[in-house]
Amino acid sequence: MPAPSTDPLVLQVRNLCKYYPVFARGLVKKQLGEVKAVDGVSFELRRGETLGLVGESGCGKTTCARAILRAITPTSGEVLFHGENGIVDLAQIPEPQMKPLRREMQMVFQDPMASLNPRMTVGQIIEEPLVIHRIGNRRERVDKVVEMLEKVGLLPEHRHRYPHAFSGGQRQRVSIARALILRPSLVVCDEAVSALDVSVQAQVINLLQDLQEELGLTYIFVAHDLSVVRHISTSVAVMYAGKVVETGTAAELFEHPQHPYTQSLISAIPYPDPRRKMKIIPYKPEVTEVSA
Amino acid sequence: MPQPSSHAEQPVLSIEDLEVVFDTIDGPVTAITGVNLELPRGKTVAVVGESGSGKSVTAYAILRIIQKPGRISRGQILFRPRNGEPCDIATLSEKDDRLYQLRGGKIGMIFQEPMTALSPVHSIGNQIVEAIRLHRPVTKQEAEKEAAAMLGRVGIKQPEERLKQYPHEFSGGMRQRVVIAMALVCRPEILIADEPTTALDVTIQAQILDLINELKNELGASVLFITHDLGVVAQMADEVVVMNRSRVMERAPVLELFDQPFHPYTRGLLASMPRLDQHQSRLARVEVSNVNIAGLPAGYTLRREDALPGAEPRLLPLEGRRQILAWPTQN
Ligand SMILES: Nc1ncnc2c1ncn2[C@@H]1O[C@H](COP(=O)(O)OP(=O)(O)OP(=O)(O)O)[C@@H](O)[C@H]1O
Ligand SMILES: Nc1ncnc2c1ncn2[C@@H]1O[C@H](COP(=O)(O)OP(=O)(O)OP(=O)(O)O)[C@@H](O)[C@H]1O
Ligand SMILES: [Mg+2]
Ligand SMILES: [Mg+2]
Repeated sequence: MPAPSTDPLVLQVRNLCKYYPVFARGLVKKQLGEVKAVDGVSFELRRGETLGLVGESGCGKTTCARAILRAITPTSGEVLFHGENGIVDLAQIPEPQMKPLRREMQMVFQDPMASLNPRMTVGQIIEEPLVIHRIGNRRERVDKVVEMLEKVGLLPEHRHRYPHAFSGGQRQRVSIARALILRPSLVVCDEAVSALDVSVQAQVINLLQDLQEELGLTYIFVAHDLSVVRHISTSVAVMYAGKVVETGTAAELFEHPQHPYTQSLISAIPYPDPRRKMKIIPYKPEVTEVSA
Repeated sequence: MPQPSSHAEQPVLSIEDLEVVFDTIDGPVTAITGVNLELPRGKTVAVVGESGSGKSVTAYAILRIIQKPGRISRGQILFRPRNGEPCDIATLSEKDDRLYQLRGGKIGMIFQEPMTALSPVHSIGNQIVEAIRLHRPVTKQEAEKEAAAMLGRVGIKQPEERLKQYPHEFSGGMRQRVVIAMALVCRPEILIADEPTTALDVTIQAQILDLINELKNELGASVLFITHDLGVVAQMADEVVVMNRSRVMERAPVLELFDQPFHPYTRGLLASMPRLDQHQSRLARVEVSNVNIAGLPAGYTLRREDALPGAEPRLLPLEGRRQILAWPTQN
């Protein structure tokens, strides 16, 4: 057993919930029920740790991440963030007080095409957080943009192009460069490396780990690629239908999965061996997604 | 006596010497060049390779949806439909009816980024129904039933309710499954799947891969499967095409590629796969030296560094169905 970490806490999430109302479509807007996208999620993260968040498509990972960073307002629960100026509950504090905090936390969004402004050049997109937070002069900012582009395996001259003129994986790297340029203390990566081939993926993951060591960054790493999750995470939480069903260190969880869903998940990882056929353990839960 | 090859044995798609150039303000950017690719009927060909190597651009070329300032500057894309005359997609006029029958009809495409293929202002149901009715003469009610059924088959629970929702109310992976459903409802002869499962967990991914195989068998369709997940390649593909820096580096039947990758780039790719069963503190970017390959004609090398200065590489045939990109070392 590794000794419990004594690094300072960065984040305490307690009983976080986000429910979306479900309306009947038509002339009268009648509420039929609600989707419990996130339903009582709790965990703690210390400085320099990486929490891997995995689970079925639609189980609430993105909603959870967005609720933590207050990209959306949670329905209930606490998100205690231990920032430069003390502890605040991100679920409660008023929006104007959020702005300075946003510098300390960044998110790499799942769908880069939808989150990058198509009318800005990639250079402007990566530079924007520096402009918003008034960091550096024009020259210094451009230097930083070029440095970030190179770190994610793109070229300095790429900064004059628009997002549509990139491949999917190149756009993902633009999102990563934008999120890391402020050197935030908490970064949520939502499927941030999913479109990258193994060699570029290795480069980007090594970059994330280098920055983590250098700056003590804390990550929440949402991903479907379990080998990447295992590689990068200190602990892993498995979600199913809005709830965390199992947590553990990366090694424990992947070697001795306890929950039937986790077992099913691990059994479904495709073998990189054309001779070995898959044997997937099915998982049949008894849950209803829309509750009245 | 060997029989003259019948129509059915010919590949449903043959791409030859394809080149796509983007005329940017900084001058022309060659996205792909010298691309050769064959899709045998009823088979799955996986395309793997570096990010930015031209996989999606190749797919866009097949549907003739390359955006300006891009254009096909060379090569042919021969499509042999089950019924009807073969045609060279590369040279069809922009207004040719056949192009409209191809797009989303005879050739279905699952786009890498679902939001580029979905309209934010129309319900999921309307979008799938429209996709069906664009290419098939069915009533609105029939199309709605089919849409719900397909949404269920891609693993979305309570599909009738979900059809009424809008893309922003879906998760990333659910949107990706909508795009998959839209491509499959049209019963294409060729399905181009560009990273179709990157936003899906492995259990749903397995379900989607099964579904693609089921429909492929049911319709006798062929699949061009772009992915960087070598596990998916191993489980799905009959043949593999490896791309790097705008070119096809290597082609091989799947077993041969995993048993004996030839190209240094391919060998590096297979060696740097992250694995669940081994813990590495650093992910390696493997550099591999040259190998001796039986059947490589004299006067060619796999290493760009050893090539004759200024010489263009060629995709050379090897034994069986293998091909490899090599550079000439002499005139
Ligand atoms: N409008 C454009 N102008 C200039 N270059 C472009 C344009 N569109 C695409 N490219 C370039 O064409 C190349 C091939 O892009 P493509 O999208 O085919 O890559 P890919 O192999 O699909 O990569 P990924 O795995 O990251 O999705 C890339 O280097 C990209 O930057
Ligand atoms: N704005 C919204 N309105 C209504 N429902 C929503 C909204 N956003 C998300 N949902 C629902 O909440 C649930 C969880 O979605 P979320 O995006 O968090 O899933 P996810 O775990 O990130 O999935 P994926 O792996 O597919 O990205 C889904 O059922 C989704 O339809
Ligand atoms: Mg998500
Ligand atoms: Mg692509």
